[in-house]
Amino acid sequence: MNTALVSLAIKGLLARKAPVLLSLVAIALSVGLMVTTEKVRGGVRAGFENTITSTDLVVGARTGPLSVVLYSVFRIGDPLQSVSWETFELVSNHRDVAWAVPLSLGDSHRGYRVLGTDDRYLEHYRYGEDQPLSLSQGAWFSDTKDAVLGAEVARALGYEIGTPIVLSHGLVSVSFADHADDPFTVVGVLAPTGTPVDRTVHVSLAGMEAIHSAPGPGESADPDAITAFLVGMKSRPLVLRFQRILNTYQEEPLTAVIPGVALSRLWSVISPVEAILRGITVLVFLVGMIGLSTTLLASLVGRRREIAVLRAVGAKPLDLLTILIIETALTSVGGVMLGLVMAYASLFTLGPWLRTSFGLVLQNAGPSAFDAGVLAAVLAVGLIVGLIPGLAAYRQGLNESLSSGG
Amino acid sequence: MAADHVCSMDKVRFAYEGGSTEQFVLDHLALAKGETVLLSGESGFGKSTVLGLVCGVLVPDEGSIIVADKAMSTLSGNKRDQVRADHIGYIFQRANLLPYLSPVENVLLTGQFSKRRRTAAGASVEERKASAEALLDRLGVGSIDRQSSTLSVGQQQRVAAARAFYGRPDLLVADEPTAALDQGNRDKFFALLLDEARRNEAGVLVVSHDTGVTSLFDRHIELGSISRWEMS
Repeated sequence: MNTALVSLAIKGLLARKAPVLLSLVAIALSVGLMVTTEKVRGGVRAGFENTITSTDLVVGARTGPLSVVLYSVFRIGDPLQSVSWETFELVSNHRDVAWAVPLSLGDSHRGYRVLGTDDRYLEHYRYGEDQPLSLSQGAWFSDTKDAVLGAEVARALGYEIGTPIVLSHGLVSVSFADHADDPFTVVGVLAPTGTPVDRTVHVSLAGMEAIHSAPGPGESADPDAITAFLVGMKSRPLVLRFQRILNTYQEEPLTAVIPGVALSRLWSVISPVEAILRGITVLVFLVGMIGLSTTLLASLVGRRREIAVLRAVGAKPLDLLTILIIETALTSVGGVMLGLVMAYASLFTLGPWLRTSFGLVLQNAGPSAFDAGVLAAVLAVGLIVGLIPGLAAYRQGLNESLSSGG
Repeated sequence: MAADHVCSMDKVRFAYEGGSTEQFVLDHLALAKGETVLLSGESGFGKSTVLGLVCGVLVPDEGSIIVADKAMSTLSGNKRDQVRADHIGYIFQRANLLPYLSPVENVLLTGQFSKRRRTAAGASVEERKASAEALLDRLGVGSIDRQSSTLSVGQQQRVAAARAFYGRPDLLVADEPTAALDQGNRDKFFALLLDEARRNEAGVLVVSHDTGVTSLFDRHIELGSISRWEMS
């Protein structure tokens, strides 16, 4: 490329700082919003799909598959029926089953769901990229009246190790049906996960059972029934067959769900929201590009004399087109870079707020192929947009140019 | 065209596009090498049309236009642009400079689009810069190291003249170059311009309605005496 034209384009850009800066900011805002929206959308989706991993089946009483996932994984809604402990034991002792984790829901504490489970939950529950749960403070429950809080519960309620908590029936912030005579004690707090685990109070099955019907002397502390259970198979190929076995189990009507499949189906339910977000992204991009085109066209009117001088000293129409395209390309690349910096700065700044306010952990929020795609798209559209004033300059007859100069 | 002519126009007919019913007709106009000509005429007589035709901006419907031995009327747009870059220096009435370049950079601009002019100005970057500075010096601007937009109108016109002479073009064309200057600066400008033209042996075609400077030129032509507008 003719370096003289590049030099002229750069000097021309530097001479028109105000309109160039406006274009740059318009592109940067457009790209920044686009990348931030996309990262939030992608992060929400990744976080959603990674709520539960390494679990092969989620099993609840007979109902719709989405319902099982909603109440057992997301703690949304209540099951109408439960699963007998006998069935759970049978499944967990099956030769093809590596592990099974019981889940018992029903109570709450100040709006947060209480989950009754056992040590197997801490051992086998996985989220994100196969990450296990870990404790940020204290220890996992070992006594009947011990409670382990999710990170969000501890943060929002300001609880620490040793804080006594009272559970309520159902899911209400203020309940008249408190188990006030049976307070639990916080013994541990889980590290943040960005999943519904953060908003859960974990107690032992025995503790859950004790506040509802304390076992008499000689009675087993095991519950009669649980809400659902998670299953890990010894071998992945067995999952489908075992799912079919459970779904056709004659002794008790069950629904066994493969979490990944259910989560994808659940995500498709809210996909219109995703489509709207993508639509907003595209609109923001288009508005930015139209702004760039408008600024370029407006600046061209003020540059007729400059074009006339260049034509008079022998610049060909193609030279003028090249200069304008170089200007647009430099402005576009500058705008994209500034936009990416703005996007990552805002994601970095907003990340902790999103996590604490909405429990939203943005996964895969680092630089990605999408960013390269944005750069390429803005550059391509920017060049096309730059062609509009470029062609106008190209078509500006020299006679008109000479008249403009005169 | 005679071999000693830098520019000649013969039996030229031209009509503007867009449904114009009038046709500009020019019988004959020729400039010898190193000759200075003042072409005067009232507004609307076709002064700008003549310049457009000479510079290859406008293409005649009929007739012959030869500049520096190149038949402009038969060349493509790009080639006419190249003839203009290589052989013609052009001065506008005003607003001649790129405001964001220094005076020296404005002078050197011509060389960016013409290898011939660049080579004629010097073999190296340093030589070319020295050539531009020498031109500015002779035209009374000196080496001003600031943006051209900060210069006075008179200084800007002299920088424009230096740019037009850079690389020793065969022909210098100026369209009312002193329209924005007072009489004192006008005379001074023309004296410097014509002096530099003689030094470079460049033909000069100045279009103006101001006949007060006629005596400075080798020849004065009334446009009305060689051309007319005819209904087509």
